Amino acid sequence: MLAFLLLATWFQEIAAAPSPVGSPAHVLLREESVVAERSGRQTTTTRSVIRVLTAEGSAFARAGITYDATCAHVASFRAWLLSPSGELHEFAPTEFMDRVVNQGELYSSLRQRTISVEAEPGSVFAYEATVTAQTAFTQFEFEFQPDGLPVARSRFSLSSPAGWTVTSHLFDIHPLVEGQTWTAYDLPELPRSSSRLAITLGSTFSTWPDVANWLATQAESAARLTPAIVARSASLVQNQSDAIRALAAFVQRLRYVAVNENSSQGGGFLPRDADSVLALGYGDCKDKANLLRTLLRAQGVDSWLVAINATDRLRVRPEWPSPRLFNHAILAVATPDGLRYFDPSDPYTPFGQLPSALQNVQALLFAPGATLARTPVGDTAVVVRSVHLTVTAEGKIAGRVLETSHGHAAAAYRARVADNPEFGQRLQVRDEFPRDGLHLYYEFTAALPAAGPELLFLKPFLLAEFAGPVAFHETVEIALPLEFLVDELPDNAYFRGGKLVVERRDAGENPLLVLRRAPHEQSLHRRNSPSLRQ
Amino acid sequence: MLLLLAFAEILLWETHVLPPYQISHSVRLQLADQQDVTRHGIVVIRHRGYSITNFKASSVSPAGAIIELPTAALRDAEDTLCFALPAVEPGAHIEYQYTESYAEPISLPLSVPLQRELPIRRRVVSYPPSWQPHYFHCDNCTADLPPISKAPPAYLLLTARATQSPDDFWRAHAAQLTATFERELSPVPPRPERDLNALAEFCRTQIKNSLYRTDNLSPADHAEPNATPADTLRRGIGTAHEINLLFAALARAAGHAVHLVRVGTSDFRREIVDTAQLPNEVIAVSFPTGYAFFNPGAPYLSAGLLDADEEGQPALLATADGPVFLTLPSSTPDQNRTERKTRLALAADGSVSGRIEVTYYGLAAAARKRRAERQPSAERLADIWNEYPGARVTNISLKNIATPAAPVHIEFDIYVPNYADRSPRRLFLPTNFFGAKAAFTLPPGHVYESEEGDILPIRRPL
Repeated sequence: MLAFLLLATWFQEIAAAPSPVGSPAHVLLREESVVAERSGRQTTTTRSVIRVLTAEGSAFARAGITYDATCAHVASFRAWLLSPSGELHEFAPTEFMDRVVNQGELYSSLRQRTISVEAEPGSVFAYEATVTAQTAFTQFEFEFQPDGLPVARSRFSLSSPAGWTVTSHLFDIHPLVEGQTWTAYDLPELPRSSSRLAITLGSTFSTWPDVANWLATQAESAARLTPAIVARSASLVQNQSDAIRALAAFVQRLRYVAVNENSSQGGGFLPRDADSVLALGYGDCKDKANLLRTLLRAQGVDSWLVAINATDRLRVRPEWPSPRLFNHAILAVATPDGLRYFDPSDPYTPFGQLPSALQNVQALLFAPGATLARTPVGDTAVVVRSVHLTVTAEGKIAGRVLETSHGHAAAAYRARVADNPEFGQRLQVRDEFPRDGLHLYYEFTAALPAAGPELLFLKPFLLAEFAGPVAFHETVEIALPLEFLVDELPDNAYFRGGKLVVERRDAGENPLLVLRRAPHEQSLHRRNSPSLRQ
Repeated sequence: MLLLLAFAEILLWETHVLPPYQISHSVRLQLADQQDVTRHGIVVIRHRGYSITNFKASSVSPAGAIIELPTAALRDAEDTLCFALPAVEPGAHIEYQYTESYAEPISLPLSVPLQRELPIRRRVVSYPPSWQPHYFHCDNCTADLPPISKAPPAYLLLTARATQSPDDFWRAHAAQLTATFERELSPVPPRPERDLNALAEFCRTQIKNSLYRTDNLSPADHAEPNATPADTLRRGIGTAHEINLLFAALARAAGHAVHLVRVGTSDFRREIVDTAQLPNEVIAVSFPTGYAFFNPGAPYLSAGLLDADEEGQPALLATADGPVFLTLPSSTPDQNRTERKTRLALAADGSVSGRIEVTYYGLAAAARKRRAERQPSAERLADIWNEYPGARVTNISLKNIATPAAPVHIEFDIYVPNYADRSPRRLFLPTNFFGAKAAFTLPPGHVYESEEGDILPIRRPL
């Protein structure tokens, strides 16, 4: 009872602080303290106090901690709500939810304990959580403003064994530093705050070569040449003019199945033995990359696993060497034309190309002495499209489309056909995979929307959105009904690099609208005319 | 040209019910193409209320090689067992067997699913000969079963063999229901309202319903059951059944004859002698011309309505003379309508802004209230935003979302950029605004070229 009263007092003192207007909520306190012991045991205590300012701000009255169930324990997790009238309520343990964190894996040892409450404007939500873990990693990160809300006080403190070096890096913030405590005050609202503290204890990962050495050590024992590996490699390259492409295509076809175990002990960086992955017929990104590496090794081709971040291009900071910045593994293969990066987890991008998300991104080879290097930028994808449309006086439209795509545009179509069989059934597809190139042909009929009894309203252009730059070579021919005149055409600026002309034909023939788009600087854009509708 | 399409299918699914504690399954699956390998090469078995034992799995390659699943590849997280079959390729077969092991004896009736997400070529279910099978929603329940779709899934209901005829059974059940009802229906003083709808709405709106987590109710409010309808009236709180009993007592006090009605689902069958087929309850008031039905124990319904899982369903009305089997009436579309009022203005740049009011009545309102009672306020707002994709929705007012019986009223400001297409001389205005026709005021100098059609051309000023 006394402990509760003391906590309530602490909480209520902080809750008395004023808040700025204009934000949905105000973080009065965000605090994390870590006690690291020589044994590898770490105790992390997190506290937070947040005032809800608007109805929308109730969404921030939540708390959650993620932990590895195999080596961590939630020692305590308490939460309170102080109503505008001053009534204090502590939430019962049954109001917390504890569940497996699964991001598409077959299995994960990660769990999350959460609570989310309904808080009216003027309420103050607070929580305190303590987690103990046994972990091999002695690196920490702390975000001063994870939700972008205004923050009154954000603090991280570290207690480490005597004699251990502490190396810290601050990104986009200058907090007050007192020993091993970093405190930032009165941070204004900043929707995409990147203010962060990164700490390394000890000297395990002082430099990027340190990280590369560690990764290489993790991976080496998994790439043994066994009789099964050698035999399969030989059978796959038999009668193939391009051995690397054949092996790459084989590994691409293997199922992607991820099992997330022992992440706190480095399990997330250790590929499974290539022989096992071959026998099972599935693996995660590092398993597949390692299997390909081993199959290539059987053919005398050198390659290296590569650590990369597939979801956040800015995540890897050169100033802070750490393996935890990476979340994906690909392969770099030595070819007569130089080093080629390849992602065997991507079933749609052939060897010789990288998915757009992995181009021009900081990456690290699993090789002793390696340092960060950017993956190359690939060639611009190309789409060559020919569209023929016929419009009748009754407002019906019939069309046929022939399209050839290369690069990531072709990969995007492959993914779409694989994910949506109905889409694939409407098309005739000729795919040159594992070489580059995909050809589509389809016919369709539709009715134009009626825009009054005397107007036909036509927006004949096909929407296509791609994740990277695409060079379009497009010709659209629209045969118009004789009974109608072309009354209006959009400006050519509407077509972003294309040109629309009306070709008159001999009397008795339907007039023809022709749009041609050829690639030049303006047409190279990340999204292709998103306002166009079919 | 004959086009052959191959898809994954379950070649055989066998289920053996082995009372008292076990049900075993054996599944053999054929994969046609790479998509099947991706989709069905991983198997997830959810097991809530029992444990999985005697597990085995293997894949059989097109060439006939059998690869067993290593035990280490099994993953069991809480109530989910999952595994990826090894070395699976197009044309392979997958086989797995397991036993559901229960801590308590398996009780009847037992429902055994017959369909799954894939078509099933052959389905076998075995059970003790003393049990009675009842098949639902299938013509041929042992072979060529289609995959689960929007139609009710096929299942097998196993019951104990009846020791008495269905007529005798239901007669006895109606007598028991009537006796219990009469015992519970102790008198209450009559209320000023004589109209039955008014009495039902009094019970629905003035007596808190302890089973629903409305915004103004906490679990501690109704710690003990009410012994009589008078207690329910005095305390002002009750369960759904207690509120219905109060209504019945008030209706009787007003001079009406009342009966208890047990309501089933569309799967109800008289020949299945199981009272669990009738899980819901309403109150019937008899008139010379028939019956009127009330359920004030459901707080979110409007006057005169039954719940969505009650209307149109088979029911048993318990009388002293025996059971009366009937079908409950259904409400009309007008009773469950949604009314929308819009005040929208089109701008010269093609954007639309204005205010929208939407009112939900009847079961439409009840559905929104039920959903909202489990949501924090931020999520209720997010639901509204998500109904208007591409638009900016602000100043939301949400009324009666937790008020029994009242219509739900939502108002908000809306802004949609680039709603109308633009050409040099015209705007093209789609009239279907988020699923309903709407009228728009035009910017100065703009006139409709036509007011017919789905897209209205508007001449822009020179």
